[in-house]
Amino acid sequence: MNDEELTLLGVVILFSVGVYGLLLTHHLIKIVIALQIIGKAVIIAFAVAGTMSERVQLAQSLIVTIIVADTMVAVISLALVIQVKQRLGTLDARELSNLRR
Amino acid sequence: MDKLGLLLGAAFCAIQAIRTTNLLLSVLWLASVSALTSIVLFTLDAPNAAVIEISVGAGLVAVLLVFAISIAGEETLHNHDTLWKKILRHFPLITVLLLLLWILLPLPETQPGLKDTATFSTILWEDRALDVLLQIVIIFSAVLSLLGLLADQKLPAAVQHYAASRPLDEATSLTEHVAIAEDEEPILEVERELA
Repeated sequence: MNDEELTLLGVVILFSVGVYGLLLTHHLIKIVIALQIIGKAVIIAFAVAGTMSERVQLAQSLIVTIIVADTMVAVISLALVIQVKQRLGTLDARELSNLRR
Repeated sequence: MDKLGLLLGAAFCAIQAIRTTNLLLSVLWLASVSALTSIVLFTLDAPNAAVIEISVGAGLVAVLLVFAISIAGEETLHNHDTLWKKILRHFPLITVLLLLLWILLPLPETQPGLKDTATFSTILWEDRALDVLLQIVIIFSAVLSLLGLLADQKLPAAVQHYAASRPLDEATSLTEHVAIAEDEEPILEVERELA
């Protein structure tokens, strides 16, 4: 395995940890944290792709876009979490799904 | 090899961020993931992205999370899973890991002749000017929606009058107050006319 493949292996592990958190946690703030972890894994994957194709500058400009979008997702999600807590009094995603029944 | 070590450290911090029950500690572990990510980006010859990642990821997002936790409060959720459920909890991690490895490795050969010809600033501000414009629009819309979500609700005058006369107790919800205030609206109108 060369250096890029080893880095990508690390990216896959980090991405899997993010998906693991997203699937298993029921806490709304923890869900935002898991989304952030997935975003970081994707950022490193873009940087590896840029290094491999020798287009690091293009990869960097794409990474900036990803960071902006990821941060805005976090901002809106946290505002929604605060609203959910104030209106329904819980941060448990399971109790929110119970409202449909 | 050093990058793999850094990424394994980031994965460890990420697992801790998800598993710990203390939310503030969880935010600190996430900031560590961000710091390690920016070091990896720096070693991959992407210093501009590394600087933005550490300032936004470990700075802004961490502050936002702490702000949200301070408003929403630290609520710890308890799991009462059986042994089988505890074992099954690790199944998605292994599945996603194996699937991604199967899809991604071995890496395809890169095509020659696609090298960068411009600097980072030229690509960002000239080649991708439309994308930058859209990013600015996204930031503004996010700020506006944030202000809308966090703004205080203005209640009707009758509800405010009722709430001022009788303070909220734990058993009475806001919807009940609104219902009671709607019933009292004719009485309030009579009081206003008499005054």
